[in-house]
Amino acid sequence: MKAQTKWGWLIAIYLFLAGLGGGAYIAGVLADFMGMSSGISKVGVFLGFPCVFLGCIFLIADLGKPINFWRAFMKPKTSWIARGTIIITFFLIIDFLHIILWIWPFDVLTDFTGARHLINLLGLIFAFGTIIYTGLLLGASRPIAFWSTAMLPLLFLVSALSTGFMAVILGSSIIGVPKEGLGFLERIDIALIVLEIFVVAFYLQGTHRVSESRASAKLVLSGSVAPMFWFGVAILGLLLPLLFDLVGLYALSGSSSHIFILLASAFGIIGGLFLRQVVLKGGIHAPLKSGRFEYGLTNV
Amino acid sequence: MVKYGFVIDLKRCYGCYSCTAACKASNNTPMGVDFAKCVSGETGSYPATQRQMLPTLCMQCEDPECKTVCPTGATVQNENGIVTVDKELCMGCGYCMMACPYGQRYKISTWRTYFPAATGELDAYQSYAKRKWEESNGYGIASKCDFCMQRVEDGRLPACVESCPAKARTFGDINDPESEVSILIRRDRGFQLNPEFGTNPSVYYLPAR
Repeated sequence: MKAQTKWGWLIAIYLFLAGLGGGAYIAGVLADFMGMSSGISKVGVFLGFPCVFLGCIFLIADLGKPINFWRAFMKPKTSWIARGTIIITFFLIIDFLHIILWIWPFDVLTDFTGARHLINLLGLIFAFGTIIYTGLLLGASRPIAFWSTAMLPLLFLVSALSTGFMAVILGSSIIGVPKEGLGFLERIDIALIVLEIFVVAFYLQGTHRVSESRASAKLVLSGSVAPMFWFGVAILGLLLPLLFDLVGLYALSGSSSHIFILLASAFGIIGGLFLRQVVLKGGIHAPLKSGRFEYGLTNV
Repeated sequence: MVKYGFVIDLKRCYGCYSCTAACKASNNTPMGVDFAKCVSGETGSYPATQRQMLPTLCMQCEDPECKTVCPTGATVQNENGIVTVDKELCMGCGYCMMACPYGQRYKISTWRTYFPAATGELDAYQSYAKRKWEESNGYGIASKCDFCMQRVEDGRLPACVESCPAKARTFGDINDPESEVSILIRRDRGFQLNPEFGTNPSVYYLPAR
């Protein structure tokens, strides 16, 4: 049984950027609700739109007929791509308004806390929708048991939140906004990484029921996808960020602590991209079954 | 209402690939597109092994997964049960290729010749096939078998049925209990591939033994 080849890096980047943008927005809104410095919150809110928008460009680039991309809205009754397109469009519109009314060119929302929190709340709903949809999108492919599982939306949700928080930490540090409150995001991020390690483990453990998802797990753990999984996801994306975050937050202080946390965030973000590609590359269709014979699909 | 279906007798098929060739000739499909594909399977371990050919084509499911996931509305189910793709509406996202349990969707980005060593212009036969393919399907969309709907409307049999020398393939109306296909399904233990996906295919197979 061979893995699917039709969805590759372009789709992985799209899934990753949609998660990253949604996660960063959620981190920004959370920082705003918690009353942290508005600089941190603005970084998160500002990252949402360009990341998700760029992700959509990658998605459109993968289409066979990009000129028809606008038709992706047409069948939300049954298709997760159509539903997702609508969710993402709402998110983009809300975040766009959020940015122009709060960050640039206008700054009217600073004084209207009630209106800002209303936009926060609306954006939060669609940011979660954007993230979770990327998992449900793959999950709707019933013949691919590796995707068609309840764990996948959860895995993408945790990974998106984690990479989004890291992007906000990284972005806030780069533009040098006041750091009070950043430590709180870093501690949440440590919890998210630990949670993600468990979710990845359960996701792979839960593949044992049917032969094609067992084959997927084998491909990911010891087959051709294994180097990307172990080096890109497990070590670069999870263990190193966890270690560096812990060292940076609890063992060091000052600028050396700062460097560790920046590295942890950069590694974690790259790991999130590898995670999407590993999931895509591990997707194996169920074989055709006729009596005792099994036939792997050839055209996928 | 007529609902077209197939019965493929696995006892009769010996894997000559006539169906594949006839389909290619009739639908002018380029390299990489095999609406009527015959795949070979093995089971058991040496010396107690068996080999069995499995001719495949679009199963024209009653509840087609490809239509469910299609975001554009390009995939439609006709009244006669045949599922078709409107090439003007398809955006080529490939979602149907992920969702089809039978791997019967084909998306290509360019015409590939069967004679890679040949240089210069395509010969007359190939340029004819290329033109026909571009009229009917083209590139970037998820094309599929349509049971040779045009031939059927003209009162002929699908190309793969007509060409099968072993008479392994029977075409007809599975809604009519007295049709040959319905009788074969009832009498000879007809079964569908991978019923666990709940798509209710219109292509039935008769067991090899």
